Amino acid sequence: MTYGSSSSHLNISQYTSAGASYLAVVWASCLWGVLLVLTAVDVQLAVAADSSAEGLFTPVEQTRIEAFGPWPVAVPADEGNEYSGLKWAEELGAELFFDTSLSGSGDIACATCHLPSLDFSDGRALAVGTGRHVRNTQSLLNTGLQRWFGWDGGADSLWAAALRPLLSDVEMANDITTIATRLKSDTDFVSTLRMSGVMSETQPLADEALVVVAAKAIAAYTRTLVSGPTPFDRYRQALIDDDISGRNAYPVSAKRGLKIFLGEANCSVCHFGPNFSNGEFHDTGRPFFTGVGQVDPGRYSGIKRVRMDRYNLIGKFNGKPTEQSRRKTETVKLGQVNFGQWRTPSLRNLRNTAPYMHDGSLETLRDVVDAYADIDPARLHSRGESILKPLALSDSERADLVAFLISLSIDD
Amino acid sequence: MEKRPRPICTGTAAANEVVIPDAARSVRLKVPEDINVSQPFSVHVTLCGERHAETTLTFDATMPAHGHGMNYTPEHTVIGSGDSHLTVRVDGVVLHMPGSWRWQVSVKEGREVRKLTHDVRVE
Repeated sequence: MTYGSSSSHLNISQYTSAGASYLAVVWASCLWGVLLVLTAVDVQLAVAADSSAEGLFTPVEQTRIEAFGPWPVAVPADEGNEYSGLKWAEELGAELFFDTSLSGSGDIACATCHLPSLDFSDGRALAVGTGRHVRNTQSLLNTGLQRWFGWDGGADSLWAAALRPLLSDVEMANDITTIATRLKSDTDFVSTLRMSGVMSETQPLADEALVVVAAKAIAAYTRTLVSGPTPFDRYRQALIDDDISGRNAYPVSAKRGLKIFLGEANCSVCHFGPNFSNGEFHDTGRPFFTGVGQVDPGRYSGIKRVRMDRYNLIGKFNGKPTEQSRRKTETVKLGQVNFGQWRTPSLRNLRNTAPYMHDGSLETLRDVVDAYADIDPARLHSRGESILKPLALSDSERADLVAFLISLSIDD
Repeated sequence: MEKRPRPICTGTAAANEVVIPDAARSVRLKVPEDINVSQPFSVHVTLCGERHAETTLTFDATMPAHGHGMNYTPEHTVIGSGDSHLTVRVDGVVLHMPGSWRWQVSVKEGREVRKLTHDVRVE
Protein backbone atom coordinates (compact mmCIF):
# COMPACT_ATOMS: atom_id res chain seq x y z
CA MET A 1 0.00 0.00 0.00
CA THR A 2 1.36 3.37 -0.84
CA TYR A 3 0.46 5.88 1.68
CA GLY A 4 1.41 9.26 2.48
CA SER A 5 3.46 12.09 1.60
CA SER A 6 6.84 12.63 0.18
CA SER A 7 9.60 12.41 2.73
CA SER A 8 8.10 13.33 6.02
CA HIS A 9 10.05 12.29 9.08
CA LEU A 10 8.17 11.79 12.30
CA ASN A 11 9.61 11.74 15.75
CA ILE A 12 6.95 10.79 18.19
CA SER A 13 6.90 10.05 21.85
CA GLN A 14 3.67 9.48 23.65
CA TYR A 15 2.21 7.96 26.77
CA THR A 16 -0.88 5.86 26.52
CA SER A 17 -3.32 5.49 29.34
CA ALA A 18 -3.94 1.82 28.79
CA GLY A 19 -3.00 0.05 32.01
CA ALA A 20 0.64 0.09 32.87
CA SER A 21 1.77 0.63 29.38
CA TYR A 22 4.17 3.28 28.48
CA LEU A 23 5.28 3.61 25.01
CA ALA A 24 8.12 5.33 23.46
CA VAL A 25 8.13 5.09 19.78
CA VAL A 26 10.49 6.95 17.69
CA TRP A 27 9.00 6.37 14.38
CA ALA A 28 11.16 7.30 11.53
CA SER A 29 11.00 6.80 7.87
CA CYS A 30 8.64 7.12 5.18
CA LEU A 31 9.28 7.51 1.63
CA TRP A 32 5.73 6.80 0.55
CA GLY A 33 4.75 5.14 3.60
CA VAL A 34 4.20 6.38 7.06
CA LEU A 35 1.73 3.71 7.80
CA LEU A 36 1.78 3.53 11.51
CA VAL A 37 1.28 6.69 13.45
CA LEU A 38 0.05 7.43 16.87
CA THR A 39 -3.39 8.72 17.51
CA ALA A 40 -2.35 12.13 18.61
CA VAL A 41 -0.56 12.78 15.38
CA ASP A 42 -3.62 12.01 13.39
CA VAL A 43 -5.66 14.34 15.51
CA GLN A 44 -3.12 17.07 15.11
CA LEU A 45 -3.18 16.67 11.36
CA ALA A 46 -6.93 16.56 11.26
CA VAL A 47 -7.29 19.88 12.98
CA ALA A 48 -4.54 21.50 11.00
CA ALA A 49 -5.54 24.21 8.61
CA ASP A 50 -6.99 23.03 5.36
CA SER A 51 -3.97 23.43 3.21
CA SER A 52 -4.64 20.91 0.50
CA ALA A 53 -4.32 22.04 -3.04
CA GLU A 54 -8.06 21.84 -3.58
CA GLY A 55 -9.00 23.58 -0.38
CA LEU A 56 -11.58 20.86 -0.03
CA PHE A 57 -9.64 18.10 1.70
CA THR A 58 -7.65 18.13 4.89
CA PRO A 59 -4.09 16.81 4.77
CA VAL A 60 -5.27 13.57 6.37
CA GLU A 61 -7.98 13.18 3.74
CA GLN A 62 -5.54 13.96 0.98
CA THR A 63 -3.21 11.27 2.32
CA ARG A 64 -6.09 8.82 2.30
CA ILE A 65 -6.96 9.78 -1.26
CA GLU A 66 -3.38 9.06 -2.28
CA ALA A 67 -3.73 5.61 -0.73
CA PHE A 68 -6.38 4.78 -3.35
CA GLY A 69 -3.64 4.55 -5.94
CA PRO A 70 -1.63 4.48 -7.99
CA TRP A 71 -3.70 2.52 -10.44
CA PRO A 72 -3.30 -0.01 -11.88
CA VAL A 73 -1.19 -1.84 -9.34
CA ALA A 74 0.88 -4.94 -9.91
CA VAL A 75 -1.21 -8.06 -9.45
CA PRO A 76 0.51 -10.63 -7.25
CA ALA A 77 0.96 -14.19 -8.45
CA ASP A 78 -1.93 -16.51 -7.72
CA GLU A 79 -0.96 -18.38 -4.57
CA GLY A 80 -0.18 -22.03 -5.12
CA ASN A 81 -0.40 -21.64 -8.90
CA GLU A 82 2.90 -22.54 -10.50
CA TYR A 83 1.61 -21.38 -13.87
CA SER A 84 0.48 -17.94 -12.77
CA GLY A 85 2.05 -15.26 -14.93
CA LEU A 86 3.13 -17.67 -17.67
CA LYS A 87 2.06 -16.66 -21.15
CA TRP A 88 1.11 -20.13 -22.35
CA ALA A 89 -1.11 -20.61 -19.31
CA GLU A 90 -2.83 -17.25 -19.76
CA GLU A 91 -3.56 -18.00 -23.41
CA LEU A 92 -4.74 -21.51 -22.68
CA GLY A 93 -6.86 -20.21 -19.81
CA ALA A 94 -8.50 -17.63 -22.08
CA GLU A 95 -9.63 -20.40 -24.41
CA LEU A 96 -10.91 -22.57 -21.59
CA PHE A 97 -12.75 -19.62 -20.06
CA PHE A 98 -15.02 -19.43 -23.09
CA ASP A 99 -15.30 -23.19 -23.60
CA THR A 100 -18.82 -24.50 -23.00
CA SER A 101 -17.71 -28.11 -23.32
CA LEU A 102 -16.26 -27.95 -19.82
CA SER A 103 -19.76 -27.98 -18.36
CA GLY A 104 -21.82 -31.07 -17.76
CA SER A 105 -24.58 -29.84 -20.05
CA GLY A 106 -22.13 -28.69 -22.69
CA ASP A 107 -23.65 -25.24 -23.01
CA ILE A 108 -22.25 -23.26 -20.09
CA ALA A 109 -18.81 -21.67 -19.96
CA CYS A 110 -17.19 -19.48 -17.34
CA ALA A 111 -18.01 -16.61 -19.68
CA THR A 112 -21.70 -17.46 -19.56
CA CYS A 113 -21.93 -15.78 -16.16
CA HIS A 114 -18.79 -13.66 -16.44
CA LEU A 115 -19.56 -11.69 -19.60
CA PRO A 116 -16.75 -9.45 -20.87
CA SER A 117 -19.36 -6.93 -22.01
CA LEU A 118 -20.52 -6.52 -18.41
CA ASP A 119 -17.06 -6.35 -16.88
CA PHE A 120 -17.21 -10.10 -16.36
CA SER A 121 -20.44 -10.08 -14.39
CA ASP A 122 -23.89 -11.09 -15.73
CA GLY A 123 -26.37 -8.34 -14.96
CA ARG A 124 -28.62 -10.70 -13.02
CA ALA A 125 -29.54 -10.45 -9.39
CA LEU A 126 -28.71 -14.10 -8.83
CA ALA A 127 -26.44 -16.22 -10.95
CA VAL A 128 -27.98 -18.87 -13.17
CA GLY A 129 -25.99 -21.86 -14.28
CA THR A 130 -27.31 -25.38 -14.41
CA GLY A 131 -29.40 -24.31 -11.47
CA ARG A 132 -30.26 -21.08 -9.71
CA HIS A 133 -27.60 -19.74 -7.40
CA VAL A 134 -28.33 -17.86 -4.19
CA ARG A 135 -25.64 -15.28 -4.85
CA ASN A 136 -24.88 -12.53 -7.28
CA THR A 137 -22.15 -13.04 -9.88
CA GLN A 138 -19.13 -10.96 -8.97
CA SER A 139 -17.09 -9.17 -11.60
CA LEU A 140 -13.74 -10.76 -12.34
CA LEU A 141 -12.01 -7.48 -13.09
CA ASN A 142 -9.07 -7.02 -10.72
CA THR A 143 -9.93 -10.25 -8.98
CA GLY A 144 -6.26 -11.14 -8.66
CA LEU A 145 -5.91 -8.45 -6.01
CA GLN A 146 -8.04 -10.34 -3.52
CA ARG A 147 -6.77 -12.67 -0.83
CA TRP A 148 -9.99 -14.69 -0.67
CA PHE A 149 -12.39 -15.46 -3.49
CA GLY A 150 -16.14 -15.53 -3.71
CA TRP A 151 -18.58 -13.64 -1.55
CA ASP A 152 -17.85 -15.95 1.36
CA GLY A 153 -14.14 -16.45 0.70
CA GLY A 154 -14.76 -20.15 0.24
CA ALA A 155 -11.71 -20.36 -2.00
CA ASP A 156 -8.24 -19.32 -0.87
CA SER A 157 -6.74 -19.01 -4.35
CA LEU A 158 -7.85 -17.88 -7.74
CA TRP A 159 -7.31 -21.35 -9.18
CA ALA A 160 -9.46 -22.98 -6.51
CA ALA A 161 -12.12 -20.39 -7.29
CA ALA A 162 -11.86 -21.29 -10.98
CA LEU A 163 -12.19 -24.99 -10.26
CA ARG A 164 -15.19 -24.83 -7.98
CA PRO A 165 -17.79 -23.74 -10.60
CA LEU A 166 -16.79 -26.61 -12.86
CA LEU A 167 -17.90 -29.07 -10.19
CA SER A 168 -20.75 -27.09 -8.60
CA ASP A 169 -24.21 -28.59 -9.08
CA VAL A 170 -25.75 -25.18 -9.71
CA GLU A 171 -23.02 -23.79 -11.93
CA MET A 172 -21.29 -25.97 -14.55
CA ALA A 173 -22.22 -29.28 -12.95
CA ASN A 174 -19.47 -31.45 -14.30
CA ASP A 175 -17.16 -34.02 -12.72
CA ILE A 176 -13.43 -34.68 -12.77
CA THR A 177 -13.55 -37.75 -14.99
CA THR A 178 -15.73 -36.16 -17.65
CA ILE A 179 -13.72 -32.94 -17.72
CA ALA A 180 -10.44 -34.86 -17.92
CA THR A 181 -11.76 -37.00 -20.76
CA ARG A 182 -12.77 -33.90 -22.62
CA LEU A 183 -9.35 -32.25 -22.00
CA LYS A 184 -7.42 -35.32 -23.09
CA SER A 185 -9.30 -35.34 -26.37
CA ASP A 186 -8.30 -31.73 -27.02
CA THR A 187 -5.12 -31.95 -29.08
CA ASP A 188 -4.34 -28.24 -28.59
CA PHE A 189 -4.66 -28.56 -24.82
CA VAL A 190 -2.50 -31.68 -24.71
CA SER A 191 0.20 -30.27 -26.99
CA THR A 192 0.32 -27.03 -24.97
CA LEU A 193 0.90 -28.98 -21.77
CA ARG A 194 3.56 -31.09 -23.40
CA MET A 195 5.35 -28.12 -24.92
CA SER A 196 5.31 -26.31 -21.61
CA GLY A 197 6.71 -29.35 -19.81
CA VAL A 198 3.68 -29.86 -17.57
CA MET A 199 3.37 -33.43 -18.82
CA SER A 200 4.90 -35.70 -21.40
CA GLU A 201 3.78 -38.58 -23.55
CA THR A 202 5.43 -41.02 -21.20
CA GLN A 203 4.30 -39.19 -18.07
CA PRO A 204 0.66 -38.20 -18.48
CA LEU A 205 -1.22 -36.52 -15.66
CA ALA A 206 -3.91 -38.25 -13.67
CA ASP A 207 -7.44 -37.00 -14.31
CA GLU A 208 -7.69 -34.85 -11.22
CA ALA A 209 -4.26 -33.29 -11.74
CA LEU A 210 -5.19 -32.53 -15.32
CA VAL A 211 -8.35 -30.69 -14.28
CA VAL A 212 -6.36 -28.75 -11.70
CA VAL A 213 -3.95 -27.66 -14.43
CA ALA A 214 -6.92 -26.46 -16.48
CA ALA A 215 -8.26 -24.50 -13.50
CA LYS A 216 -4.84 -22.98 -12.89
CA ALA A 217 -4.69 -21.94 -16.54
CA ILE A 218 -8.12 -20.31 -16.27
CA ALA A 219 -6.91 -18.52 -13.14
CA ALA A 220 -3.76 -17.41 -14.95
CA TYR A 221 -6.06 -15.78 -17.48
CA THR A 222 -8.49 -14.17 -15.01
CA ARG A 223 -5.54 -12.73 -13.09
CA THR A 224 -4.79 -10.64 -16.20
CA LEU A 225 -8.22 -8.98 -16.13
CA VAL A 226 -7.25 -5.57 -14.84
CA SER A 227 -9.31 -2.46 -15.46
CA GLY A 228 -7.86 0.81 -16.67
CA PRO A 229 -7.60 4.20 -15.00
CA THR A 230 -10.81 5.99 -14.10
CA PRO A 231 -11.77 9.67 -13.74
CA PHE A 232 -11.04 9.29 -10.03
CA ASP A 233 -7.55 7.96 -10.73
CA ARG A 234 -6.84 10.99 -12.92
CA TYR A 235 -8.16 13.31 -10.23
CA ARG A 236 -6.02 11.63 -7.59
CA GLN A 237 -2.96 12.11 -9.76
CA ALA A 238 -3.92 15.73 -10.43
CA LEU A 239 -4.10 16.33 -6.68
CA ILE A 240 -0.63 14.87 -6.21
CA ASP A 241 0.78 16.85 -9.14
CA ASP A 242 -1.11 20.00 -8.19
CA ASP A 243 -2.47 19.99 -11.72
CA ILE A 244 -5.26 22.55 -11.76
CA SER A 245 -6.78 21.58 -15.09
CA GLY A 246 -6.73 17.93 -14.09
CA ARG A 247 -8.46 18.76 -10.83
CA ASN A 248 -11.06 20.85 -12.56
CA ALA A 249 -11.89 18.03 -14.95
CA TYR A 250 -13.31 16.00 -12.08
CA PRO A 251 -17.00 16.64 -11.36
CA VAL A 252 -17.68 18.81 -8.32
CA SER A 253 -20.39 16.44 -7.13
CA ALA A 254 -17.89 13.56 -7.19
CA LYS A 255 -15.49 15.64 -5.08
CA ARG A 256 -18.22 16.25 -2.54
CA GLY A 257 -19.07 12.56 -2.62
CA LEU A 258 -15.43 11.66 -2.03
CA LYS A 259 -15.41 13.96 0.99
CA ILE A 260 -18.43 12.13 2.44
CA PHE A 261 -16.92 8.76 1.53
CA LEU A 262 -13.81 9.57 3.56
CA GLY A 263 -15.57 11.38 6.36
CA GLU A 264 -19.10 11.08 7.60
CA ALA A 265 -19.94 7.87 5.77
CA ASN A 266 -16.67 6.20 6.83
CA CYS A 267 -16.74 3.98 3.74
CA SER A 268 -12.97 4.00 3.38
CA VAL A 269 -12.53 1.96 6.53
CA CYS A 270 -13.46 -1.17 4.59
CA HIS A 271 -13.23 0.09 1.02
CA PHE A 272 -9.57 0.75 1.31
CA GLY A 273 -6.50 0.92 -0.93
CA PRO A 274 -6.20 0.99 -4.73
CA ASN A 275 -8.85 -1.68 -5.23
CA PHE A 276 -11.23 -0.09 -2.72
CA SER A 277 -11.41 -3.27 -0.68
CA ASN A 278 -9.61 -4.49 2.40
CA GLY A 279 -10.18 -8.02 1.13
CA GLU A 280 -11.83 -9.13 4.35
CA PHE A 281 -15.39 -9.82 5.54
CA HIS A 282 -18.00 -7.74 7.28
CA ASP A 283 -21.58 -7.88 8.41
CA THR A 284 -23.36 -4.89 6.96
CA GLY A 285 -26.85 -5.90 7.93
CA ARG A 286 -27.86 -7.35 4.60
CA PRO A 287 -30.46 -10.11 4.74
CA PHE A 288 -29.22 -13.67 4.54
CA PHE A 289 -32.47 -15.53 4.16
CA THR A 290 -32.59 -17.24 0.78
CA GLY A 291 -35.99 -18.81 1.08
CA VAL A 292 -38.43 -20.10 3.66
CA GLY A 293 -36.34 -21.63 6.41
CA GLN A 294 -33.15 -21.27 4.39
CA VAL A 295 -30.20 -19.03 5.10
CA ASP A 296 -26.90 -18.26 3.45
CA PRO A 297 -24.43 -18.00 6.33
CA GLY A 298 -21.85 -16.12 4.26
CA ARG A 299 -18.32 -16.15 5.66
CA TYR A 300 -19.29 -18.68 8.30
CA SER A 301 -19.83 -21.33 5.65
CA GLY A 302 -16.97 -19.95 3.56
CA ILE A 303 -14.41 -20.67 6.27
CA LYS A 304 -15.81 -24.13 6.82
CA ARG A 305 -15.71 -24.78 3.12
CA VAL A 306 -12.20 -23.56 2.54
CA ARG A 307 -10.91 -25.66 5.42
CA MET A 308 -12.45 -28.79 3.92
CA ASP A 309 -11.64 -27.90 0.33
CA ARG A 310 -9.55 -30.56 -1.33
CA TYR A 311 -8.08 -27.82 -3.48
CA ASN A 312 -7.08 -25.39 -0.76
CA LEU A 313 -3.58 -24.06 -0.18
CA ILE A 314 -2.91 -26.62 2.53
CA GLY A 315 -3.61 -29.47 0.13
CA LYS A 316 -1.40 -31.41 -2.23
CA PHE A 317 -2.42 -29.42 -5.30
CA ASN A 318 -0.71 -26.28 -4.03
CA GLY A 319 2.05 -26.03 -6.62
CA LYS A 320 4.04 -23.37 -4.79
CA PRO A 321 3.59 -23.95 -1.07
CA THR A 322 4.81 -21.13 1.12
CA GLU A 323 4.53 -20.41 4.81
CA GLN A 324 2.36 -17.41 4.09
CA SER A 325 -0.14 -19.22 1.90
CA ARG A 326 -0.40 -22.11 4.34
CA ARG A 327 -0.79 -19.77 7.28
CA LYS A 328 -3.65 -17.79 5.74
CA THR A 329 -5.86 -20.84 5.47
CA GLU A 330 -4.72 -22.56 8.65
CA THR A 331 -5.08 -19.59 10.97
CA VAL A 332 -8.30 -17.98 9.79
CA LYS A 333 -10.72 -17.82 12.72
CA LEU A 334 -14.19 -19.33 12.61
CA GLY A 335 -16.87 -18.04 14.95
CA GLN A 336 -20.48 -16.97 15.17
CA VAL A 337 -19.31 -13.48 14.29
CA ASN A 338 -18.70 -14.74 10.75
CA PHE A 339 -22.40 -15.44 10.23
CA GLY A 340 -23.78 -12.98 7.70
CA GLN A 341 -20.40 -11.56 6.77
CA TRP A 342 -19.51 -10.99 3.12
CA ARG A 343 -16.30 -10.08 1.44
CA THR A 344 -15.83 -6.36 0.95
CA PRO A 345 -16.26 -5.91 -2.79
CA SER A 346 -14.10 -3.61 -4.84
CA LEU A 347 -15.86 -0.41 -5.80
CA ARG A 348 -14.17 -0.15 -9.18
CA ASN A 349 -16.32 -0.40 -12.29
CA LEU A 350 -19.62 -0.60 -10.45
CA ARG A 351 -21.40 1.19 -13.26
CA ASN A 352 -21.36 -1.98 -15.37
CA THR A 353 -21.95 -4.56 -12.68
CA ALA A 354 -25.44 -3.90 -11.30
CA PRO A 355 -27.29 -5.22 -9.40
CA TYR A 356 -25.35 -5.10 -6.15
CA MET A 357 -24.63 -6.90 -2.88
CA HIS A 358 -24.15 -10.63 -2.33
CA ASP A 359 -27.75 -11.37 -3.22
CA GLY A 360 -28.16 -8.79 -5.97
CA SER A 361 -30.92 -7.23 -3.92
CA LEU A 362 -30.03 -3.60 -4.69
CA GLU A 363 -30.61 -2.54 -8.25
CA THR A 364 -28.83 0.80 -8.39
CA LEU A 365 -25.94 2.60 -6.77
CA ARG A 366 -28.45 4.97 -5.22
CA ASP A 367 -30.11 1.95 -3.62
CA VAL A 368 -26.74 0.95 -2.20
CA VAL A 369 -26.09 4.40 -0.77
CA ASP A 370 -29.59 4.51 0.69
CA ALA A 371 -29.14 1.07 2.25
CA TYR A 372 -26.03 2.21 4.13
CA ALA A 373 -27.35 5.66 4.98
CA ASP A 374 -30.57 4.24 6.38
CA ILE A 375 -29.03 1.13 7.89
CA ASP A 376 -31.03 -0.49 10.65
CA PRO A 377 -28.59 -1.28 13.50
CA ALA A 378 -31.07 -3.87 14.76
CA ARG A 379 -30.33 -5.95 11.68
CA LEU A 380 -26.64 -6.08 12.39
CA HIS A 381 -25.23 -9.17 13.98
CA SER A 382 -24.69 -8.64 17.69
CA ARG A 383 -20.96 -8.68 17.10
CA GLY A 384 -21.03 -6.93 13.76
CA GLU A 385 -19.27 -3.76 12.75
CA SER A 386 -20.22 -1.43 15.56
CA ILE A 387 -19.14 1.59 13.54
CA LEU A 388 -22.07 1.15 11.17
CA LYS A 389 -24.75 3.65 12.06
CA PRO A 390 -27.49 5.46 10.18
CA LEU A 391 -26.25 8.56 8.39
CA ALA A 392 -28.17 11.77 8.21
CA LEU A 393 -27.41 12.33 4.55
CA SER A 394 -29.52 14.68 2.48
CA ASP A 395 -30.80 13.76 -0.94
CA SER A 396 -28.08 15.80 -2.63
CA GLU A 397 -25.36 14.28 -0.45
CA ARG A 398 -26.53 10.83 -1.46
CA ALA A 399 -26.41 11.89 -5.09
CA ASP A 400 -22.85 13.14 -4.51
CA LEU A 401 -21.81 9.76 -3.15
CA VAL A 402 -23.26 8.10 -6.23
CA ALA A 403 -21.37 10.55 -8.45
CA PHE A 404 -18.16 9.59 -6.68
CA LEU A 405 -18.86 5.87 -7.05
CA ILE A 406 -19.55 6.31 -10.76
CA SER A 407 -16.20 8.06 -11.12
CA LEU A 408 -14.53 4.79 -10.08
CA SER A 409 -15.59 3.23 -13.38
CA ILE A 410 -13.58 3.49 -16.56
CA ASP A 411 -14.86 5.90 -19.18
CA ASP A 412 -17.14 4.67 -21.94
CA MET B 1 35.77 -8.36 13.01
CA GLU B 2 32.56 -10.14 13.85
CA LYS B 3 29.75 -7.75 14.60
CA ARG B 4 28.29 -8.20 18.04
CA PRO B 5 24.53 -8.70 18.14
CA ARG B 6 22.70 -5.83 19.73
CA PRO B 7 21.56 -6.64 23.29
CA ILE B 8 17.88 -7.46 23.17
CA CYS B 9 16.74 -5.68 26.29
CA THR B 10 19.07 -2.77 26.79
CA GLY B 11 19.51 0.57 25.19
CA THR B 12 17.11 3.01 23.65
CA ALA B 13 14.26 1.58 21.65
CA ALA B 14 14.99 1.49 17.96
CA ALA B 15 12.79 3.27 15.46
CA ASN B 16 10.65 0.23 14.92
CA GLU B 17 10.42 -0.86 18.54
CA VAL B 18 7.81 -0.25 21.19
CA VAL B 19 8.63 -0.56 24.88
CA ILE B 20 5.90 -1.31 27.41
CA PRO B 21 7.09 -1.24 31.04
CA ASP B 22 5.69 -3.87 33.35
CA ALA B 23 6.68 -3.24 36.95
CA ALA B 24 10.40 -4.06 37.16
CA ARG B 25 10.41 -5.53 33.69
CA SER B 26 9.37 -4.49 30.23
CA VAL B 27 8.05 -5.91 27.00
CA ARG B 28 9.58 -4.87 23.71
CA LEU B 29 7.75 -5.20 20.44
CA LYS B 30 9.74 -5.11 17.26
CA VAL B 31 7.56 -4.45 14.26
CA PRO B 32 8.13 -3.71 10.55
CA GLU B 33 8.62 -0.08 9.66
CA ASP B 34 5.76 -0.32 7.18
CA ILE B 35 2.58 -1.91 8.43
CA ASN B 36 0.09 -2.18 5.61
CA VAL B 37 -3.61 -2.66 6.13
CA SER B 38 -4.67 -6.25 5.37
CA GLN B 39 -1.10 -7.38 4.73
CA PRO B 40 0.37 -10.04 7.05
CA PHE B 41 3.43 -9.14 9.09
CA SER B 42 5.45 -10.50 11.99
CA VAL B 43 6.10 -9.07 15.44
CA HIS B 44 8.97 -9.98 17.76
CA VAL B 45 7.81 -9.84 21.36
CA THR B 46 10.50 -9.85 24.04
CA LEU B 47 9.93 -9.98 27.78
CA CYS B 48 12.89 -8.25 29.41
CA GLY B 49 13.71 -8.99 33.02
CA GLU B 50 13.65 -11.84 35.46
CA ARG B 51 11.07 -14.37 34.44
CA HIS B 52 9.27 -17.47 35.57
CA ALA B 53 10.59 -20.74 34.15
CA GLU B 54 7.35 -21.40 32.27
CA THR B 55 6.52 -17.96 31.05
CA THR B 56 4.48 -17.72 27.87
CA LEU B 57 3.90 -14.67 25.73
CA THR B 58 0.96 -14.20 23.41
CA PHE B 59 0.15 -11.30 21.14
CA ASP B 60 -3.28 -10.20 19.99
CA ALA B 61 -4.85 -7.10 18.47
CA THR B 62 -8.33 -5.63 18.66
CA MET B 63 -10.23 -2.61 17.37
CA PRO B 64 -12.08 -1.39 20.48
CA ALA B 65 -14.21 1.09 18.56
CA HIS B 66 -15.34 -1.58 16.12
CA GLY B 67 -15.97 -4.33 18.64
CA HIS B 68 -13.77 -6.93 16.97
CA GLY B 69 -10.26 -8.25 16.75
CA MET B 70 -8.25 -9.87 14.02
CA ASN B 71 -9.66 -12.43 11.63
CA TYR B 72 -6.66 -14.71 12.08
CA THR B 73 -4.94 -16.36 15.02
CA PRO B 74 -1.25 -15.49 14.76
CA GLU B 75 1.32 -18.23 15.16
CA HIS B 76 3.79 -17.96 18.05
CA THR B 77 7.31 -19.40 17.98
CA VAL B 78 9.88 -19.03 20.76
CA ILE B 79 13.06 -17.84 19.09
CA GLY B 80 15.17 -16.90 22.10
CA SER B 81 15.17 -17.41 25.83
CA GLY B 82 17.41 -16.90 28.82
CA ASP B 83 17.24 -16.13 32.51
CA SER B 84 16.39 -12.53 31.84
CA HIS B 85 14.54 -12.54 28.56
CA LEU B 86 12.13 -14.46 26.38
CA THR B 87 11.54 -13.67 22.72
CA VAL B 88 8.64 -14.92 20.67
CA ARG B 89 8.13 -14.35 16.97
CA VAL B 90 4.48 -13.80 16.11
CA ASP B 91 3.67 -14.55 12.47
CA GLY B 92 0.50 -13.87 10.54
CA VAL B 93 -0.61 -10.64 12.19
CA VAL B 94 -3.17 -8.99 9.90
CA LEU B 95 -4.70 -5.63 10.75
CA HIS B 96 -7.50 -5.64 8.24
CA MET B 97 -8.86 -2.12 8.66
CA PRO B 98 -7.29 1.30 9.01
CA GLY B 99 -7.90 3.03 12.31
CA SER B 100 -7.13 2.55 15.98
CA TRP B 101 -5.87 -0.84 17.06
CA ARG B 102 -4.99 -2.05 20.52
CA TRP B 103 -2.07 -4.45 20.69
CA GLN B 104 -2.17 -6.72 23.68
CA VAL B 105 0.64 -8.86 25.06
CA SER B 106 -0.37 -11.47 27.61
CA VAL B 107 2.39 -12.58 29.95
CA LYS B 108 1.38 -15.84 31.58
CA GLU B 109 3.42 -17.07 34.53
CA GLY B 110 1.91 -19.92 36.44
CA ARG B 111 -1.66 -18.92 37.16
CA GLU B 112 -1.00 -15.24 36.78
CA VAL B 113 -1.70 -13.49 33.51
CA ARG B 114 -0.69 -9.89 32.98
CA LYS B 115 -2.07 -8.06 30.00
CA LEU B 116 -0.07 -5.16 28.60
CA THR B 117 -1.53 -2.97 25.94
CA HIS B 118 -0.33 -0.47 23.42
CA ASP B 119 -2.59 1.66 21.23
CA VAL B 120 -1.58 2.39 17.67
CA ARG B 121 -3.19 3.91 14.67
CA VAL B 122 -2.76 2.26 11.30
CA GLU B 123 -3.36 4.18 8.12
